[in-house]
Amino acid sequence: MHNDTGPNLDVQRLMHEIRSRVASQHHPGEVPNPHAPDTANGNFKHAKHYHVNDLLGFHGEDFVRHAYRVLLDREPDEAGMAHHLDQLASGRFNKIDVLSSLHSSHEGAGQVKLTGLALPAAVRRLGRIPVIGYIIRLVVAIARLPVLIQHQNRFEFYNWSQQQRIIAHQDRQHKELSETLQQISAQILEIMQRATQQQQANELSLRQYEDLIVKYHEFASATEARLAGSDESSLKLNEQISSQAQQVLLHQQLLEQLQQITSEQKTFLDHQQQLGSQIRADLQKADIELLMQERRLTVLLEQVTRNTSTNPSFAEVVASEEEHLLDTLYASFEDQFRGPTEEIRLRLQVYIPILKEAEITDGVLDIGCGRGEWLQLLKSEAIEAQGVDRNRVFIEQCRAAGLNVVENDALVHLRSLPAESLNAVTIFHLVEHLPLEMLIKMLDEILRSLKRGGLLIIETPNPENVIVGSHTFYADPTHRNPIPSQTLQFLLEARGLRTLDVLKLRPREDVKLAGDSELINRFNEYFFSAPDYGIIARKP
Amino acid sequence: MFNKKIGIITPWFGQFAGGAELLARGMARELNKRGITTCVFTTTSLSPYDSWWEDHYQPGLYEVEGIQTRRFATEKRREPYDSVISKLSRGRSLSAIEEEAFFNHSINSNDLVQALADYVNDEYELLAVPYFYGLTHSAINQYPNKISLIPCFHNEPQFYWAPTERLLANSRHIFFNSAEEKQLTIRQYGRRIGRSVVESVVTGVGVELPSGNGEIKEKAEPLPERYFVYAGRKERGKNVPLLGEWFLEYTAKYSGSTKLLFIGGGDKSLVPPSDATVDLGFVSEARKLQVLENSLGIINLSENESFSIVIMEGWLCGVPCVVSANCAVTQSHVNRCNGGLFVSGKNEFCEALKYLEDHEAIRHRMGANGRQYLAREFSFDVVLGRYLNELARPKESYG
Repeated sequence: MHNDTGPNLDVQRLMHEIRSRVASQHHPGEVPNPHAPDTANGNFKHAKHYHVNDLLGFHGEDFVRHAYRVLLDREPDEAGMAHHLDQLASGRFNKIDVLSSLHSSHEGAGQVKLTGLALPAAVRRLGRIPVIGYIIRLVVAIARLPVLIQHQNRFEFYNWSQQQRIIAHQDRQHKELSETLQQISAQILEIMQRATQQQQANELSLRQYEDLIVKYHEFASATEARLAGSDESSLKLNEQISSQAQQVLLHQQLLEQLQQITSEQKTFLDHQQQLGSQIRADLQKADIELLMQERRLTVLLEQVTRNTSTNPSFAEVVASEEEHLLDTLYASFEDQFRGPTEEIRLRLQVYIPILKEAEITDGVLDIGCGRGEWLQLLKSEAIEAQGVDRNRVFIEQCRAAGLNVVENDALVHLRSLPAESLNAVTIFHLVEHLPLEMLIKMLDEILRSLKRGGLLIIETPNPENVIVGSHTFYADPTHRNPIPSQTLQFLLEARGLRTLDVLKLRPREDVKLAGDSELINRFNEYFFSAPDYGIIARKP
Repeated sequence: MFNKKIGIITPWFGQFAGGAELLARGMARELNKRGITTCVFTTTSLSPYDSWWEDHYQPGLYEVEGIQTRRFATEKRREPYDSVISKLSRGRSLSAIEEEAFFNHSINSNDLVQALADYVNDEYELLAVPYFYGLTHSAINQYPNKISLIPCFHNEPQFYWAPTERLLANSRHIFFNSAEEKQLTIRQYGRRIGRSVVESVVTGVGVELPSGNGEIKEKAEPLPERYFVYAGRKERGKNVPLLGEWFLEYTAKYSGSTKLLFIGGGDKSLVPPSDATVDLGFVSEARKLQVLENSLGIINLSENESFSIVIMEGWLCGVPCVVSANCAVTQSHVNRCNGGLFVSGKNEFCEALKYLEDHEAIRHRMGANGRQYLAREFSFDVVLGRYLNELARPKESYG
């Protein structure tokens, strides 16, 4: 038997003790190291005999301060400190010179023995003699060259490693700070939402409770009144009972109505919130459209003012501006039919490993960058990229998001680029908008602009899916015609690119019919196969 | 006097020794001992780690450890299950149809469900265990209010799916392994299912040491002088990697020669390679008891336990346990009997182990407390008594 613990052992209390002990323990990183040099406090033990290396290990102000303490047995005065620091900073004097001047000064003479100083100090003195000094310095410098190179290498290595550590530390701190801020924001938001909900629920309960109390009092008074008249006939009693039953029924109906009103209010609130979000989105679009209109007017007015009679470019400017009249409409098409930005970013993730495998970190051009989902994704992966698009609404959106974009016609922009200057070109859901001749010209320009081994990624709707080929493709009226993957592959290879892979993207596995018959398989293939495909090609 | 026969329906019965099967095996053995004829209805699949859609055994009548066992061919259509699992593993939410597919096409046996028609009568009481597999759903839903359920619920996504609500509604009686499991069920389904959940009984699971010490069959290596034990399958879901990491931290912090012994099957690669850890693998029952009895305590950091027979075995051997403070079930057992410690982090873990190492008397007291608790609450007499009382009561008598 182990009676010493007693039968009343309480693990809750034990765990409390254990947790207190954990809390009181030092963090291992906080334990001071007794062997670490205490230079920060300037505690340099005083003695009568030193080696010069004891002092050469210090730098800057520390060096001068310790040199004073050792050789003059005092703290440096302000002027002395400034003088020696200036000398060291000039490069013409070194630490040996400083020690030598202090040691041989009137104040320092004979105070302390400093081994290892005499020879280097003598060499430094000889080095200051005209002509001969130069030769001596040269000889010493040549003799010390290997050591100096070694020091230089060590310094470089130390410097770089310190820089990297600082950068890594900054990155880590920044990341932790961002995460913490996000967590705090999310928590605050959640707490506020909960508090609001709780308050609403409390108010509702209170109102219902008050109503019930009022009804209860009414009911109690009525009952007392009826009891007072208890001599009345049983018929009257029956009437009272039926009246009470009606009241109970009424109460129930009231409660149901209250519940219904609450639920209707909730639906109404949800609807209002949705309307609010929609209005905000519409306002944002209207702002951008207004901006575009202002810009067109400004350009037109400037041109009219400058060249009312002679300059033929007026017509060109008007034509150019006319091309942008429907920019907002196209942007709305994109919002409506392409899908939410966040979803598109998720979809495009599939191409990131391809760029990573090809070790591409810059020189990416995204033709028809649209709302910039791909550029955002590349930015988050630290891959430098530029987007080009003609739609000014998109360009403004991208610029507002801090993305590198150019407003230009894709072909004109490609022609402006030097040959073999790009590592990768990406074209998402654009080729189906182009006439064949323009597509071929664009492929030729891409081939010219790409470096050898550079990648071309094209994504477009997949007409192998019957629903896509016959219906959803035409939801966007700016689409020309679907391009089967075999056709696009043929065009790429005919213009000199080599196809690496054809990715059939996002087949609808979740809605495929279950079963293994030929009919079911064929049905699934026709109706639920990949709605988009991507082609990866390389310049040989 | 209970005068019916009992049939237990469970997907696997044979070599595999998971929680639900141990429960079924213990009940069947002990009921037969007490003169109540009990048989098992199961499939021809070998274990959860083998194919659920292939017949390992031939269908027919078997005897497993003296228990009459009827095996039926498993269903062979698995495709919808694979696509649902694939979707689940990608973190997607499932449609109502897919939730149904998860249960219908996991391990199941149409032959078994049809055969039960001969046993759904006044002569038999049928019990199905656990809720997680299709067989239980098919059996109970085929014969509403005729078959009782031992759900073994955990707080996991499947617990909240619509088929689980239907299963509870169609069950004759419901038996919970712990009060925490019942509370969880009442929170989610109390309002919708009503009294049959609220008034159902918490039986617990019977745990007793096997009678007779038995012989240690394997060539037994000498045991280390001081060691803790992890007993059970080595799985990530049981927090085994965390246990390895924390234990190495403990030995590094206190420079001790104390070891951590693993007994049981599972993924060997989860045991960290170190002098401080020893994986004994599968051992005989007798060797397991020897290992437990000589240990400083049993450690189980799993956060998904509906009963935890493992810590009970430690108490049966008179040793304390260290469990996760994040597991309501195990922590509650420990609190009720003062039979161990519960930890919520690495530092607490290290201090708790150090405390147990340094306080031998308290260690023994905790073990003794646990053993008394088991005798009081979870001896087979007590647990089976709760089952039989409930089964003898017609369902209409609730309230």
